[in-house]
Amino acid sequence: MSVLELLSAVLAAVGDVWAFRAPARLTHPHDAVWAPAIGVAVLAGLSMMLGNVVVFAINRVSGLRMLAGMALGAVFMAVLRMLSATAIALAAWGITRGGIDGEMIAITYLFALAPLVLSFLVFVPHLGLGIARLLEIWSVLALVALLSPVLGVGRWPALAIAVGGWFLSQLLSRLLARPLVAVGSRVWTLATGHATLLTAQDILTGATFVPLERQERRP
Amino acid sequence: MIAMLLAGLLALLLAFAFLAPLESMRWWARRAEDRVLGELTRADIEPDGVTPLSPQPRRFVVYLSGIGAVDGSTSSRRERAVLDAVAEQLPDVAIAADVFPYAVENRGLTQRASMWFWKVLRRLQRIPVAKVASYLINLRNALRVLVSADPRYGPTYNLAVAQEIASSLTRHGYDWEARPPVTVIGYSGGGQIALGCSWYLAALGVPISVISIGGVLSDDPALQRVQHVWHLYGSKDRTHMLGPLVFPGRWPTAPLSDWHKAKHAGRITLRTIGPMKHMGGRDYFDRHHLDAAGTSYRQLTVDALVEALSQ
Repeated sequence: MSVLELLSAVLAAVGDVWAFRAPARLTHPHDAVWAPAIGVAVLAGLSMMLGNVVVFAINRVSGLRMLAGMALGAVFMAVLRMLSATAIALAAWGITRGGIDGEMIAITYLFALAPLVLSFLVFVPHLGLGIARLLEIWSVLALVALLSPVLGVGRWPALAIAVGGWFLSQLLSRLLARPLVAVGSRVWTLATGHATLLTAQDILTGATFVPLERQERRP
Repeated sequence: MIAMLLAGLLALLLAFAFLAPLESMRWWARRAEDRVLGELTRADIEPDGVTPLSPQPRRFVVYLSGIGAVDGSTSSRRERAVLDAVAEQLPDVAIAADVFPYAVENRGLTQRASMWFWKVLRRLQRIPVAKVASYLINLRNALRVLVSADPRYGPTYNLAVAQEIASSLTRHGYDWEARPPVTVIGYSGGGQIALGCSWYLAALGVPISVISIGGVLSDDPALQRVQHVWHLYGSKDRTHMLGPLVFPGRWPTAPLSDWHKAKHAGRITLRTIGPMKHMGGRDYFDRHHLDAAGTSYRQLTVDALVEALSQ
């Protein structure tokens, strides 16, 4: 498969998933199905990184350190996504009583990331935060639409798998939050040379991050 | 054809949205943290030759204009007339109106490389047929309001504008030892920026309050620190309703947000002051139209401001 063919397949898959249609390569799988699925995930990941580049700018991280930070962010995101995919596979295994194809679940999950190709819009002031949430919901709905034909189950079992998987991944991420943040902060500081001024918690709660206190007048 | 036009408009909107936070981020990236925080203190912002007024006015007021403004020096005559009327009724209050809240470093749109573009749009503001094009100014400035309300960009943007407000106070003779109360009045989008900056001004020990004239207000963390917020609006003003619509922290589903906490604590007053619209004819600064009792809309605004500033 040439680069152009791959790009064409990736864009076609993105269009299909946006419209809640299963990509042709998913319903009629053959040996080239992994490549476009990974292509969709990479495109979504790059878009997310682009949208979140502001976090680096605010923390005054630039150049090579920014690239290192972005690579770290990509790894961190991949780990979280693998966690979600595992949770969904577990939910699917429970609902279909073991009748699942792990490889197809993984490929379906990667295709369902297509709405996140628009994640660069997170950059938009204020509305970007809402857009991020809408894209996540869109992605879960796309997963429901794709799981149904892949697993040969109805829409409701597919919805149960997607929502069950989501809840399971939330539970896991809550349980692992503290150690992940501790490790993440340490690695961030090593990679960027800066302690974080702005944490994910700050972004979510809207807290002001500059530790401003009234300063005494200079003599 | 229509599809292409819509696509072009969307592309323009996205381009403006992407550019909106860059200015304050660049400002933040250029400065050392200690210097930025230090510049907010009296010793660093006091310009040569300006001494605090004696005796100090009872209160200082800083006015931030609406999203149609292009700089901090050429305020509209109608807004200036309202401020003059307030100053006449409250001689013990000092009023400053020289801060452009839609940019860092008080750099107006007519003080930058693209000044020719903004000057053309400003001229179009006065020509009814071509007025639509001038809405680009409103769009550009409205996006800065969203920057101010954004938990990612807001802290640096509001810090930059707070610094300009502090400088303006010093220019107008504010005594940073005595620290008399300060009220920031914001019209339209200026209301949110007034609120956002209050976080930093309060951190300097300044007793700070905010008056919003038809402002689009978010659930800004600064609500934890301001003494009081008066939100004055006209019954025919639909734009100010964007605040409770666009900002989830103002929805009833967020009872623990800063907005709802401040409201429950009685630190927010919402008041309809007349039948005004948000902008254009019949707005808050209109002296030609009268309410049922025969009072001009401008006078109604002046009366409401005087009442709030007298408390």
